Amino acid sequence: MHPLIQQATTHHRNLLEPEVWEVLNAYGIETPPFRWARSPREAKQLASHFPFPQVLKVVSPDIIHKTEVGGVVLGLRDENEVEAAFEAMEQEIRRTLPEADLRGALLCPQMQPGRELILGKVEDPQIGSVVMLGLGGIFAELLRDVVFRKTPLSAFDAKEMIADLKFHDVFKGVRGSGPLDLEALVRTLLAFSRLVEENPAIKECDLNPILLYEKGLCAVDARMLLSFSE
Amino acid sequence: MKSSSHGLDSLFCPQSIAVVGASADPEKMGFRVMRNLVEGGFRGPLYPVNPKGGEVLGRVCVPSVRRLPKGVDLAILVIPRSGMLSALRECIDADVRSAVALTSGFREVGEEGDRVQEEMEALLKRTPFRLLGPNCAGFLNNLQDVYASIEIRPPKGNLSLISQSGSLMSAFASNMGARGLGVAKSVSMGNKVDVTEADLLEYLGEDEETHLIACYLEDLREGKRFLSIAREVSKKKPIVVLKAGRTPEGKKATFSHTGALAGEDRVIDGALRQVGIFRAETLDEFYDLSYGLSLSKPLFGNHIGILSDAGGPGVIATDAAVGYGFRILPPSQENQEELRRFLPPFSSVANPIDMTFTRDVSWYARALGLLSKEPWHGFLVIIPSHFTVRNELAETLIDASRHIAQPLFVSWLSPWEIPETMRQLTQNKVPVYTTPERAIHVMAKLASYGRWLSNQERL
Repeated sequence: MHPLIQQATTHHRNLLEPEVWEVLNAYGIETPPFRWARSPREAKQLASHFPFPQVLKVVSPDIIHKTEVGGVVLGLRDENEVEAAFEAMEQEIRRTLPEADLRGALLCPQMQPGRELILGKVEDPQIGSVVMLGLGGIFAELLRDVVFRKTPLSAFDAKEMIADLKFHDVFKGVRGSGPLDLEALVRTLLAFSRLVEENPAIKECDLNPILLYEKGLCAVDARMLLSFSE
Repeated sequence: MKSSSHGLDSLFCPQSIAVVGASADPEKMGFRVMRNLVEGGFRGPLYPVNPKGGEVLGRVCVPSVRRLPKGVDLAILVIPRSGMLSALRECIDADVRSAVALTSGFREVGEEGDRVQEEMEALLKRTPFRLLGPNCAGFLNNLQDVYASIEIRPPKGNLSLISQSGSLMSAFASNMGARGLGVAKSVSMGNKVDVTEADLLEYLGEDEETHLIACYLEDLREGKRFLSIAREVSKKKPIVVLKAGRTPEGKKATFSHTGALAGEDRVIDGALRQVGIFRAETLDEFYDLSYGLSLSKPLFGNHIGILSDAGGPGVIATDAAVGYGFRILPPSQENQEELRRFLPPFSSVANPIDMTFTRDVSWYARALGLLSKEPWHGFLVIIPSHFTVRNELAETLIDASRHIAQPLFVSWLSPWEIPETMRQLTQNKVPVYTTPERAIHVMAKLASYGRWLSNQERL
């Protein structure tokens, strides 16, 4: 079990997003490089670590849907904008959610657009831990192009999940893009399977979206629900 | 639930049977079960049990379970719900090894039925005694003449069925029978108080008389166990599952998108594929798959040859095959030249191979003999309607199928001439369908089975 998950379950709390990212990175699942800023000034200083534009995301145990409360700011072009965005974001959330426990913000470079995927895990009452791979955006919500497998996954399972997506042709590349990096996706599926197998306290998890590129991939949003009774 | 198939031998292969609730009234279940056993030719001692005494089909009734000789293998319970618990207790006391309860009125009706079923569960947990049902249509062991059911006695063969629904027992057997195949064991599960789908899968997986297991399921009582058993069984024989309940999503607000998208059906679908199970979407497909998979070996690759003596059906087959990801490449130059030596000048020797109007049955054998040396993994032969020598043609195809390494499928385009020819081909392990699309569909499933099997061996 990952020490952060162990510690969190002992204290009956869920992981904050920077912690989730840290756990993902420990299992070889790529996220953007990131820093956790506790104040506008710290955010301004940390901004020098990454190329611009950058993204700020609020960190709070009380906020799951960050976008809806103005907790995500994109396209920050320099460190002054980062500092200002942090201040404005905090002010706005304090106004709409005065009770929310705010723990700063996650700062990272804004990633290039890529093919959006969802990767997740749930507990099925009949068969136990299952992972889901889906095409993101409209493919998931409207066409429900998603595939499930029980964990642990073999490399064959991972490849079959990809092949079983109805619109798997998008991986061949469309509109001038070359074929996407399915090897990286298989590696990530296997890493994710290992993550949920080794950490049964993860009751539910969403990596949504993952951006898949011609080379590599990157999970740019992640949430994890832990179960504390175990 | 005891989580094992232990003890199911006395259920499926009893040396002695008691029918509790046997009756001389031809309208009653207690009579029809007796008649099925007697007419089916059950070879061991058969004891009708009825407190009123009398005879059923020439056999004197034993007044109660307590008066049975010790150690009867199987009791068939055809009694009202009110007598179920005491009958089970008496069976256990009399050292009866197993029972099947055809009686209805338990969990499926709620309240009182639910309460009785709970007591049954508690009672059975503590004993090695096995119970199939209640609320089921019984089972049959066709090759050993055990008909613990009122369902038909079907043709004998090597397909076995596990079914949530009793009425599918006869339907499945009849549909397979019409195609020239028969049944080994067929069992309906009912409320699964003790014996579950996982127990039955494990038992039939080890049963040498069973070459294919077809399952109609509505729910999984022991999902995880069923899947891990299926993974092992699939390495030895195909499992085809028709799982109902494809519709409701049970959508509720959840923490994650994954949770919101995890409709039961999608989850089960993935899990079934993962362990090598063939999932049928419809009853038609259930029959087509059970039939074809029981006859053919897997395809270990996706290159196939299509052989026809007409253009149109070859094109239809090619379209279907390409849609399933098959590759249809032309034969080697050398083989093309060989084909040209005996085929008419207008033939196409690319793939699909169109022999045009075939006057000579031996062309099929010669062409298949040559093409079997191609690095292809299966063949579809399409037979048009103008054959007057169909027995000879069927013999030729049967013979060819024995001399080539690749699985051979037949699409026989005219159904009215098919029944006897179909039997002839089927009984010689050559699967035949009317339309090329149906044949190609099953071949595609066999190609994915081949992929799955190759990857299991590597693990």
